Amino acid sequence: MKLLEKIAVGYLVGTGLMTLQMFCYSLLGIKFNLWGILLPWVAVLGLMIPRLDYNNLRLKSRLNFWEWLLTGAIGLKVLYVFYEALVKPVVGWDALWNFSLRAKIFYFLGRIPLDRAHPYFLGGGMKQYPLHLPLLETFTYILQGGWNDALMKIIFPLYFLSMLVIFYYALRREQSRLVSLFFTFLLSTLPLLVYHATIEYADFVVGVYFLAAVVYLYQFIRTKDTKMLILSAVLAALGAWVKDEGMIFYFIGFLLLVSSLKPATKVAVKIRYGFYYLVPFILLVGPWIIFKQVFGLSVGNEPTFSLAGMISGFTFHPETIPKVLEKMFLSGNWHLLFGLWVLVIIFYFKKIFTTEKKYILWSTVLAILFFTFLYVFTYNWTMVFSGIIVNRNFLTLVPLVLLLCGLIFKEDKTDVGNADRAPERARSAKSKKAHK
Amino acid sequence: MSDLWAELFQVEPLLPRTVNNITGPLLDGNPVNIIIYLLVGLFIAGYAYVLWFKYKLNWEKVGRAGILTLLLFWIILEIIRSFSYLAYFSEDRDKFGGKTLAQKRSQVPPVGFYSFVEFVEAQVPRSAPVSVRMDLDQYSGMMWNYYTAPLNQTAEADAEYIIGLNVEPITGAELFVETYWVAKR
Repeated sequence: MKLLEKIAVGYLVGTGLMTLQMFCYSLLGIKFNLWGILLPWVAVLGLMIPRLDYNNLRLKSRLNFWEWLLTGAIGLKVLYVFYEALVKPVVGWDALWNFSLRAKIFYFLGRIPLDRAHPYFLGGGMKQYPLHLPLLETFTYILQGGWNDALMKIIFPLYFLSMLVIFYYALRREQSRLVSLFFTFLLSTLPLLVYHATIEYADFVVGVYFLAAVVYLYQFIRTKDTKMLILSAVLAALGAWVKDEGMIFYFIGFLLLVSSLKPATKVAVKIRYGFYYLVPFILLVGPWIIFKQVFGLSVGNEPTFSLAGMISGFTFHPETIPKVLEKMFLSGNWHLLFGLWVLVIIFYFKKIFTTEKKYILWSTVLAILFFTFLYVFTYNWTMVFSGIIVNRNFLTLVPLVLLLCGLIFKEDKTDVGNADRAPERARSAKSKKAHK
Repeated sequence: MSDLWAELFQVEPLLPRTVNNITGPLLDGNPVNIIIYLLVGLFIAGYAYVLWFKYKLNWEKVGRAGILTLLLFWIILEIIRSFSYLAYFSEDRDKFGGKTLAQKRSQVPPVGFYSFVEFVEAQVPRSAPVSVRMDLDQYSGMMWNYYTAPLNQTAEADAEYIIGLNVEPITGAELFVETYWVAKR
């Protein structure tokens, strides 16, 4: 993995683990303070930084005109996102009454209020929502030493930047630099994604975790490198710590892992992979699930959600499907992404289904099926017609839709970039041998 | 015709609902994507027809040409969208650029609301029990709650201060403006 990619993944993993640490501090009754939070990480970074390979920051060959142009266009969009996010304070509805409100409460109280009788129990807002985003916002206030909710918003452009870097390297492992840059540029143009990178909502953030989790799961399926599997599981589990949809994405990842294991694979190996995938979830999300059970908190938007209630409240609204298709294909949220996706699936059907790329396709298809199930069979159908749910749900999967297109578009041409990856191929061959 | 061009390049304003949907460019009130998909579909069919008659039909070649055409339209859409980005940038630069945090907060809708929050903060100690009478729209109510939290809210009978938001003042109230006030009991 290249250094830039490590930094991008590090942002996702590091912020997720740090907010879990803050949650544990509150459970233990420890008040938030900067050094209390940072010290363990200073030690970790102290051990890691000297081991990083700074040489791989250097380009192997000079950028050509088109590569410069694309890098410039991506850079401009990144600058725009940083500017738009940082120039103004919190403005989003859900942030005002939920995410950023909770962050402010945690900051001023120095902890998460865990007493039910407290007027700001769990920070107010949607108490059943996972705490990653509010706690990360709280951390920025602690870091600043004050409540500056304009500067706090830097976390969102940083997620945007991390997403672009992870996406670029996911392509770069198989594609030329030009094609990788071009599709990364396309990702940076998706209008609703860009807008969400400048405001304070969780949908885009959980989408970044989903993208990264699938990217490294795909990498594991290709190379059988167990480090990639563990990384994917950690990212998927952290996604569930950002938003409840993350649990479904984690489950999708598990399904993909199971379906990717060939029948000939030894049972012991299968169990080992299953163990690697499940342990991060138990360790990272388990405490939050137990906490929710203890406090009787539900999942999703309904404060009184229960599985039995959902089953008894089943509805059937197929009329939501044309509305969903309209949002996918005809709105300005995604430019022409879904049209491109359809063309790629039609014309490269064989290339997708005869390679590991099918798992990327399945990740998005399963996510779309999950959301469609919610729209057609549950109370969510009303939100399809009021226009407040579909696009924000789809924010979580659009990077993966584009990733598949980017990987398929022009396959594996030998170029300088691929030649650079000889050591990686050797490692992968070694892992595959061990796997057998 | 010029109306159609103007419509295509119209800047889509940023509204609260933008968080859920961006409409995108329109032509005669319809999403421009419809026309693009139609054109790409026709191009693919035409190209396949030509290859079939004149050369050997190669679906991969057809698909590739179709995808490239679609990507070309994507770039055009992004160029159109960049006019909106420029407009948002210049609007936000004028509204928020170079301002202090308090000034920026005053510019967030409802404009001037934060000045009242500052007025309240100057009058009411943070831990004092307060009661709030308000007649606000949902967004302003959320904004109030967000800016003043964590507020020690209590029933009016137990409150040391009463805060009025868009309601008639009570006797002895310190007015910020006519209907926004703070009263010590």
